[in-house]
Amino acid sequence: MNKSAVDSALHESVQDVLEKMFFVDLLQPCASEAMGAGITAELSFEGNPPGSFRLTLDSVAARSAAADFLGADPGELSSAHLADVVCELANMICGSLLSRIESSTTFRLSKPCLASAEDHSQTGEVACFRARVGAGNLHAEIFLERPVCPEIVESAF
Amino acid sequence: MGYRVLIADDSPVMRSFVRRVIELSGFELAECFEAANGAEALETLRSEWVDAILTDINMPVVDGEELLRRLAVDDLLRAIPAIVISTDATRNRIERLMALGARGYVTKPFLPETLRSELERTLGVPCE
Repeated sequence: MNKSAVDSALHESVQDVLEKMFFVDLLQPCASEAMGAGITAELSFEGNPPGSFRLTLDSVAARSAAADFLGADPGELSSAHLADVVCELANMICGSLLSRIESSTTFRLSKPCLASAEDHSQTGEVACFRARVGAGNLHAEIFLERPVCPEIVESAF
Repeated sequence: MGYRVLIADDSPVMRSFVRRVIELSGFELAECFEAANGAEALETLRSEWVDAILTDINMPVVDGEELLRRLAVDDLLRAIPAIVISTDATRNRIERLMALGARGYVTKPFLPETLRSELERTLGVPCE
């Protein structure tokens, strides 16, 4: 699987999760630009290949997503609620993505935790997706320790 | 008349979401119990009878796989259908959990009607 296929799978995963679980109808991909202060969740995964996943939502997007997910008034949500929802969103997007790109293997996700948006210590293959969510911004990145191997199809020949 | 459902998930926001989605879906929910892991789920099941269990896989203390194993060897609790809710949609994982005794499997993300139909299928609710 090449990088553009992983990029495409990441886009599909973000869109699928937001549409079905957060009731967000349309994602507008946007160009790379600096994001405002927000919440970053990170998790690692074992699989073929292993790697890590990071998701950042600026404060506007995080509050909007948490309100949609919990069916709550945005003004009533605490910072802990926002952090929990961003962590859960990261877990769902990463799981959905790995199910698309590592469909023939079994993977295991670590528990998502909060991270610094500036911490970019990961190396390897990278795919990222940035989009508008309501009036805010979302940035998702996956780091793969090596390229995804194509599934070997057994042939009778 | 409605059904009693136990949700086992270590994420409080996910438990709230699942409960809300069940209610929004139109499923006949009479009462909903919550557990933060498999051990809490088993503790709840000692005092409360439920019609179905919705469980995550990755949980601390007793995870979803171990919960399914313990349900399967319990003469009373094995009758309660357990449905796994997970982000993992890989064939290997689904087959493994169904072999451990799961009666249904819903992959995240899911629509409210998907969860409702899986609950109704496992409970044998006649189609409208």
